[in-house]
Amino acid sequence: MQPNDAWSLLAFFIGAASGFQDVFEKYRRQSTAAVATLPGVLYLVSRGALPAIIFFVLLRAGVLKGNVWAYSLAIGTTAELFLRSSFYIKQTEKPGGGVDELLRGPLDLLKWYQNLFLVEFVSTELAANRLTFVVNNLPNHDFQTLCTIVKKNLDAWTDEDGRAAVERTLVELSEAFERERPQPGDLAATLGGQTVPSKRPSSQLDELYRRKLGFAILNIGGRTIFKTLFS
Amino acid sequence: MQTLIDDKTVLETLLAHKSLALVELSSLLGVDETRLSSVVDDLEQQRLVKVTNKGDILNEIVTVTTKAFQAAS
Repeated sequence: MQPNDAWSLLAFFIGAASGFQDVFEKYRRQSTAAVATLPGVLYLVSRGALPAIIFFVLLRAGVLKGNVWAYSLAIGTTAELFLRSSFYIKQTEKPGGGVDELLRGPLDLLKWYQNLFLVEFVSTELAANRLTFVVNNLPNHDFQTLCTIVKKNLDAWTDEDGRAAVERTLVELSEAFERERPQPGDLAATLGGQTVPSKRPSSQLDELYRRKLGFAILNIGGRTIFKTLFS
Repeated sequence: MQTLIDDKTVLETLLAHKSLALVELSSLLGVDETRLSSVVDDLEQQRLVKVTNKGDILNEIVTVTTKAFQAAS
């Protein structure tokens, strides 16, 4: 290692900061959670690594002399400008009038890479995290007991709109649960030769509605309200 | 009464959220999971979504693909 090698961190930072901007554009308030996932970290590292490697190779090849930090800054920004560029290919006429310009370039590749990491990989991880949160934080009671717990705790929430939304959800889910629940008459009807719509086993149905209730509360109030209402 | 659901509605919801557990998706759309699963299967065949933990209805996760995102933008 040579002392000037450390300036590659500046180029790395510029690339990684641009990568974080991409994450922010896609996830806004969830940006921090998105970059905390493994694919999120890999995306930032890969975006920072490109200019850092270019700088490092040019430095070792003896191309960069003098103010090396300025070269690092220039390589970091130039790499970003290049990645975000498109070139004019051709113009086509739209059926309803006007023209469409066909542009192709590194920006297409960058967008594909962003979507692959930030949409397919990161979002799957975030959805899995939400699922884990719901499963791990739901008290170990059946669906109907959970409804009772939520009703009992609802007054602790001061947001009237939120409370109304939770009350509506409780009614809707309870009604749907009753419809889907195997009824005592189902077996007798089946034995009597009548066609009864197939229903899920009680245990699976209960778990399904527990999670539906959990996700509904999470979407209405967020994680803090979720914990309050299920406490 | 069950809400009718089509590919477009499911895809639009998924594009807005990028990825959702099947149970969460059914909760948001107010539809039955069995009905939703057949729509998701259809979207998967068109390579517009990918499904993780397929067949495990409680843990299934549905994510839009780059193809769906590029088609929408």
